[in-house]
Amino acid sequence: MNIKIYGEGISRVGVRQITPQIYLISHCVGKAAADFNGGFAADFARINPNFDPSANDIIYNSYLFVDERTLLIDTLGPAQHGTILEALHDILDGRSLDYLWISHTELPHAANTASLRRAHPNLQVLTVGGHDHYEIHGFEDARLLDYGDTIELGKHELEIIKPMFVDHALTQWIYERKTGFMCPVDWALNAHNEHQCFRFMHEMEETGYSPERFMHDISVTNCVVFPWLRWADPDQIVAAIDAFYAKYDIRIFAPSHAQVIVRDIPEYLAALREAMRRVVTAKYDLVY
Amino acid sequence: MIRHVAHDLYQLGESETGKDGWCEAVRVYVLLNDGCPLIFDAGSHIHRGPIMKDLVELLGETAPGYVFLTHTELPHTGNLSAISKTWPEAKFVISSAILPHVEMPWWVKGEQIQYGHAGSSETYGNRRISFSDAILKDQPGTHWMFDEKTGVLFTADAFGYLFPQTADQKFDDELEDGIPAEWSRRYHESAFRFLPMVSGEKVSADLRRVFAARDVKIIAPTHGNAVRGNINRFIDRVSLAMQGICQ
Ligand SMILES: [Fe+2]
Ligand SMILES: [Fe+2]
Ligand SMILES: [Fe+2]
Repeated sequence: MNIKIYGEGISRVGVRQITPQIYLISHCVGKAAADFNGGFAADFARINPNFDPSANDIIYNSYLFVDERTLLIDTLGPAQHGTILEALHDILDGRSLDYLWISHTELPHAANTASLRRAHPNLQVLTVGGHDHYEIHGFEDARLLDYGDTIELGKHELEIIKPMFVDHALTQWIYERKTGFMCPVDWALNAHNEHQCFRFMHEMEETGYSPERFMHDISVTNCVVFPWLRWADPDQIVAAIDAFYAKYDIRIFAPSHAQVIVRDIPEYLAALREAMRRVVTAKYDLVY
Repeated sequence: MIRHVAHDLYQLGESETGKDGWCEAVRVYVLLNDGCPLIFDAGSHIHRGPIMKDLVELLGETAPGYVFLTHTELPHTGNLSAISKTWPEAKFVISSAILPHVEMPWWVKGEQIQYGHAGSSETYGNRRISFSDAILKDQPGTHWMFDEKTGVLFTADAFGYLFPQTADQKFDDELEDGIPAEWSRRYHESAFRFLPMVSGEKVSADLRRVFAARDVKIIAPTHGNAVRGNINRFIDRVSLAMQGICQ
C-alpha cells in the first residue's frame, strides 16, 4: 500500500493517490479507535446487536484534485486541523489551493475552513446555494452553487448534484464527469477495524470484507446516519437509487465515510441498494 | 436579549432576517438552577457580543456549571470558546453519539466533556436532566433533553419556526393566535430537506410519542422562541405543517 501518514491517533491522516490527479486525504484513529468512537459504535449495536464490535473506527475522507486548478472536497475535523494542512502542503508542492468545496457545514466536513483560508489567502470557498441565513453557518462570503453548476479544473469538470440522502439541509453531492468520480458524502458510512485502515475497498477483501459484508454494515449504520428513512417508503427509495445509478456513470465511488471503491463497482453499488431497502424496513426503536 | 420564559428558565440569543424578510432565531436557554446554572446550546458566533453580555448580566457572580449541547453544528456551538474563556470551569455535556475529535472544537479537552446517554437521566447541580433521541434532526448524534422540574423539552432544530420581524422575541402566548402552522411549515421545509421523501403521518405519530412519554409544559427550540402557552395547539399545527411538506 503506497501511503504517506501524518500525525497519529485523533490527528492522523493518510494520503493515497486514487488517480494521478486525484488524492485521498483520509482520517481514522487506528488502534485507539474504541476510546474515541465508542458512542457511535454503541449506536450501531443498539440498532443491531450483531454489529461487529471490533469494527469501531470511522473514516473521514477529503479529496484533492490537482489539475490546472486545485480543488479540495471538505476539510476534515477539528483534531486534524494541523495534519490536513501539512498533507496539503506536501501534495501541492508550492502551489496554492484554488477551491474548497464544502459538502455540508457539519464540523467533520467544514471545521478547518478558516485555517485553510489563512494558509491559502486566494482560496474560493464553494458551497450549496438556494438557502438563507448563511452567516450563522460561517459562509457569508462563500460562492453559492446550484445543482447542475460545474467547476472546470482543466482535465476535470466537477458537477454539483442533488443529494439523494441528506441530514443537514445545506448538503450537496459532487460528480466529476471525466473520471466518473462520485462523492455521495455521508451516504454509505461503514466502520472498520484496526487492520483495515486506509485501504481501498478491493484491498478490504484481503481482510475478509466483501460486497455482502458491506451490505450488512450499511443496513445497520445508515439507520443511525439517516434516521428519517424510518418514515420513508422502501419502493420509492429503491426507485430513487435506480434512477441515480442510471443517470451517472460511476467509476470511482468516493464517500466521505467509507473506503473508496474503484473495482467491482456494480457489485458494491448493488449491495448498497439492497442495504438501503433494509434500512427503510428495519425494525428498531428509538428512545422517545 | 434576555427574556424570562417561566420558573428559572431564560431565553437568550438573536435572530437573522433573510432575503425575503422572514427571520430565523438562534436561541440559547439558561436554567438558573440556584447556584449551578445550566446553559443549553451556545448560540451563533455572529451574535457573540449580545449573547456574552446577556449571559454575564443574567448569571451575575455565578459561573455556569454545565453547557449542554443539543448537537455540534456551528449555530449551536458558536460561543463555546467565549463561554469557556469567561468560565473555564464549565463542563460540556454532549450526546454519547458525538465523536469529540471530529465534532467538537480542537481545544476542548477530554476532561471538560461529559456524555448524556439516550434513555438515561443524570443530576447536574441537583437538577435532573433526562436524555432522549432527537426524533427530528439534521445531524446524527443530536439529542433532546428534558428538565423534569419545569417540564421543559429542549428540542434542538425541531419545532423551530420562521417569523416576521414583528414576532421576534414574542412567545406564543404573546401573539394574538399563537404560532401559525405556516411559520412552522416554512422553517421545517427549509431545515429538513428529507421531509418531502417521507410520510407526514409517520413523522407526526413519532413526534406525538415523545409528548405521550412525558409531561412537557414548555418546548424550547433553538430556532424559535420557547413555546409555553398552548402546547397542544402548537403540536397540532406542527403536524399540519408536516402534512403540507411530507407525502
Ligand atoms: Fe459526515
Ligand atoms: Fe442542526
Ligand atoms: Fe440548527
